[in-house]
Amino acid sequence: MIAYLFVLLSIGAGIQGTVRTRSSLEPIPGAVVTIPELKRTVTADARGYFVISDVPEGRWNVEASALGHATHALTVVSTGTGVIRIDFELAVEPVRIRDLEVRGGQAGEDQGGVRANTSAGPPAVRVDVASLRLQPGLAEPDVLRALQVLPAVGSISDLSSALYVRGGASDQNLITLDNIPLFNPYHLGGIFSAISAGAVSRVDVWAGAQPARAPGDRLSSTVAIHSRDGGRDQLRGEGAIGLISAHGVIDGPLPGRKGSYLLAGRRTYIDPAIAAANKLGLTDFRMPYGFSDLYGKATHSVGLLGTVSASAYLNSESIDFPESMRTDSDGDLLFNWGSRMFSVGYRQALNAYLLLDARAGYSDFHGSFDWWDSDFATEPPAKVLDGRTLARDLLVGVDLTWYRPSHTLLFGLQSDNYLFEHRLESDSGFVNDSVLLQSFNRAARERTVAAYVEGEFQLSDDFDLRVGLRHLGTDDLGNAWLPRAALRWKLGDYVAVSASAGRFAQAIRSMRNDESYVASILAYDLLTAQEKEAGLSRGDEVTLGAEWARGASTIRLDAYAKRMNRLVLPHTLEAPLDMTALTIDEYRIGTGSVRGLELLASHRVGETRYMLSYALTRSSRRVGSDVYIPRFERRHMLDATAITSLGQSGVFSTRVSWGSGQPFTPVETVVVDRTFDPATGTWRYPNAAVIVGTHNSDRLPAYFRVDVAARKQFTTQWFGRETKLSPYVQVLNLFNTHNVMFGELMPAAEPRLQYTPQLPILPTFGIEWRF
Amino acid sequence: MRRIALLVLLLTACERAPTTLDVSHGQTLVHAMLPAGDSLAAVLITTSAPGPENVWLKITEKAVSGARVQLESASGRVELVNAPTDDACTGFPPPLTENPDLAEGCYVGVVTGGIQPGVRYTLIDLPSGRKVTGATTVPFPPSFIAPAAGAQIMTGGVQGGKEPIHVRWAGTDKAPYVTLVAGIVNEPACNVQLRSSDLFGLSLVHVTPFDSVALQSITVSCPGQSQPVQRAAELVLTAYDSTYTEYIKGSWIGSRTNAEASAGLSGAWGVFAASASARLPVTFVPAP
Repeated sequence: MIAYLFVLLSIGAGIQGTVRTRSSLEPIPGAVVTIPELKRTVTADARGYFVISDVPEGRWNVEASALGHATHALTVVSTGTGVIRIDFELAVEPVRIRDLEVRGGQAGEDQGGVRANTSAGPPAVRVDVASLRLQPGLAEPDVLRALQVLPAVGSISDLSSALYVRGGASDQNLITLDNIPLFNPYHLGGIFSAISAGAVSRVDVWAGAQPARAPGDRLSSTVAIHSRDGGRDQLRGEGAIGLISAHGVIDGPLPGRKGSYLLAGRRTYIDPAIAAANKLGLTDFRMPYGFSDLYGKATHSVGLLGTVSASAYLNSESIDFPESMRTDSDGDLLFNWGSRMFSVGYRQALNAYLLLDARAGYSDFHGSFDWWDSDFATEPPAKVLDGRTLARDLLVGVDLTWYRPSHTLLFGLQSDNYLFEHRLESDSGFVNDSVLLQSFNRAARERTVAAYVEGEFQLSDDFDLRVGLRHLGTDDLGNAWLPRAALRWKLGDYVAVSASAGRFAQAIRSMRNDESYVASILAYDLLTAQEKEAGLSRGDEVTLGAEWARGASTIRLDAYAKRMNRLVLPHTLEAPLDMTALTIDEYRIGTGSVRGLELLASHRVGETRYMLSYALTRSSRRVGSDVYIPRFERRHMLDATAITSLGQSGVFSTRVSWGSGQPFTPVETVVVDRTFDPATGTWRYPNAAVIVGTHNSDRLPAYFRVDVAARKQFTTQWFGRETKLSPYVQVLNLFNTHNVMFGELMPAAEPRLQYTPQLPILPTFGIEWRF
Repeated sequence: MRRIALLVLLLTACERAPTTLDVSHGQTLVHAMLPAGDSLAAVLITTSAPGPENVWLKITEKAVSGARVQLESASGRVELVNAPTDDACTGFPPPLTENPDLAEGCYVGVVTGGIQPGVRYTLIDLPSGRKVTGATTVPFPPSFIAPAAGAQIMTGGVQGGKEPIHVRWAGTDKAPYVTLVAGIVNEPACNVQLRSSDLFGLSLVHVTPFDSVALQSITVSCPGQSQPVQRAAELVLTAYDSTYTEYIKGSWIGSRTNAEASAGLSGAWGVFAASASARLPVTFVPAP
């Protein structure tokens, strides 16, 4: 509870400063700073920076609060001129049971003492790492999977971490890390997201209703992952080992304590362990697969309120056949793929009311896929598969925020230079004869320049308005003006209503065909530029929302309607197992529409937090005379989570998910089928033809899953330091429900629809430690 | 005990009781191909029926006799008669796992002047009071440019530095689907495989929309003959109408849509289509 007061010479009158965690001095993003007497409330930005403008002459109480921290209040005296600088340092106040935070939406005050800020429109949803750890999950805390508990966010299968937001495809979401796009941040085909939870401070999800300043141009959502800075006082570390991988995070001060660093790494450990055993002659088996990811960041203070930061992210996976597998399979296989991200950022308060935020970055997803066919005894290896993929973005951007007495103006500019190069060649019939995959070669470049101006106006104590205009310019796909507007109106102490509308545009698309079953198994998007023939894909969305918050309960309800056009869709519609995995040069241009209702409610009773999430989604795609429901849609999705204390230092959580079945194409009948032989002028011996009905006109069985997790914390001493150990156990799909991924037509013996299951019961356990 | 229960749970997780499909037996099936230049038109009418346990897919066919079948064009109407013993009816083999006398469902009629390219024929078919209609327009036949008629073509593969065999043709610009096959004259049991590095196909090469193909190899296999011998053969280039194109498209993947499974027809599954072929006599000579 230390406050530094500086009076600076500057224009206007106001309070400016930062909110940080005591001791470590890590910024607290989203901390709320208020002057109760003036009914003035502002929210600190991603780096804990805040400005309260136009503070009149007088003696005022200023409070700073943040979830998981003790509230701190102090008194300042304003002369009506100049600037008062306050740097809050809030003591950590652990909250064992915490949940998702709906930013900017609370009409009242929640249990944690975090008061609402005033932000127009439906709020973003914020997920912090502490709440991530409490969600029952797959093997280990997963940044992207945790978002699937939100009503706006769906998934196509248990095997995929890819996000499907409000009836949009997975390529309509922008995932950023430190404001730089991330491409395909997944491991193991998408089962895990490839972002170490230990490096993340919070995740903001803008599902629809994105403001003009949102850091990307996508039709459905922006998922902004913010990393931690690391502490500036001492070395800290944490780690975990689970069934799949082990990870570790260390952070500490840079020399001079003017900055900090953070290093996080994760790696599968089974493959190197077996390789070591192999070298020692203990086994002749070697694991052909492994993954790793590494994140590093350094932040340094510049001037009074400025920082310069640099970060790097690497994730890689590989399949490399060991000798024994080469012999057994008469071939050799070497697949390497992954993504990289590098960023540098500079922030500086140019004066008391003007904040500059600049960034430059590089991001890519790359891969090489080689397969040789040979028996290694009588013939030399022949390359039968040669695949390469690269999706790259080189960007530079700047944002300016101008804090005024009753409004904030934001300006920004960002240029993205994309390069896409994808190639798949095969000398065998393996690829060319496959219905799912064909040889192809595709390269594309695209440059986009986005500029925006946006104003946030507090028109009265109860009414906030946000108006913005974004412009997206491209080299080949045309330009788009993208107006955005939102308002929020507080109706009394507990209720608020909000509305937003906006137009969105997108210059890139994924070639992955969501109608193919491959999309249920592989989350990776194969990105390329939008087709020139189609131009920028566009979307218009309107959202109406209402929220109620009182005491320990909150309810938020949103209704939305969205339409999209110039979508690149598959050129034919078949059953999922018969559809090509990629939509490359053969495509159709169509439209989409989505309407939906979303409910997010939470309630706390003592040490137990309940959360309920429900989504009703009606989406469709129209192309030519075909109108169909996209395969990833679940008409109803209900998710209930309960998190409760387990003794003095434990937490037990359970999550129940129920969803209506995904669409599939029904079988109408099976008939005898003949083909004509022109050589003999006769019909060939007949086959059987499975006749399918209208695409996606029926539904698979409903989805039901119960996950449970329990963790307990122990404190001990390691190397003279207090260390907290948290063993955990999780059981995914506790009742082993046979949820269906897709139905496969089996035209043999007795014709039937064979269901391919999703994840079975999956118990996992591990241990985390922190010092 | 708990371990066993857990193991059972894990194992059963991989299974979900499949849903047996209602095959909806009793579907009417019509198969007809009108080759340009032929004077005889043949139509097979059957219904699908439940099959015994050992029949693949548990479906079989039953012939539909006693139907009134008419073929109509601008030049007149032809009544097709039930002619189970006609040679044209041997072109409809039954499924391998059953042996019903499908010829009972075969209807044949003589088209005066032969089936004419460019003419639209309609089928009016009234089996058991159920109305089935079909329509097709006969395509124009293509013509070979190379090789020359009577050319000697080496079989047995061209690997080892031999030049590919270039086949060129004309007249398929407007055809939605074109195939190239080869057959041994008077030996229908022989199988001829054509291989091209650029195109799909073995015994039947899909050459749409090209006007030439370089055959890398031709292999001939005849039942009971292990030694390759010189044979009179023919290359057959066939252009199909749009209904057969729609129909065959469905067979390239595992399932067919309604439109693909009832191409050119209304009221029945199957296909009512037309084709036009060019036949080039050649001699297949085994490679030394």
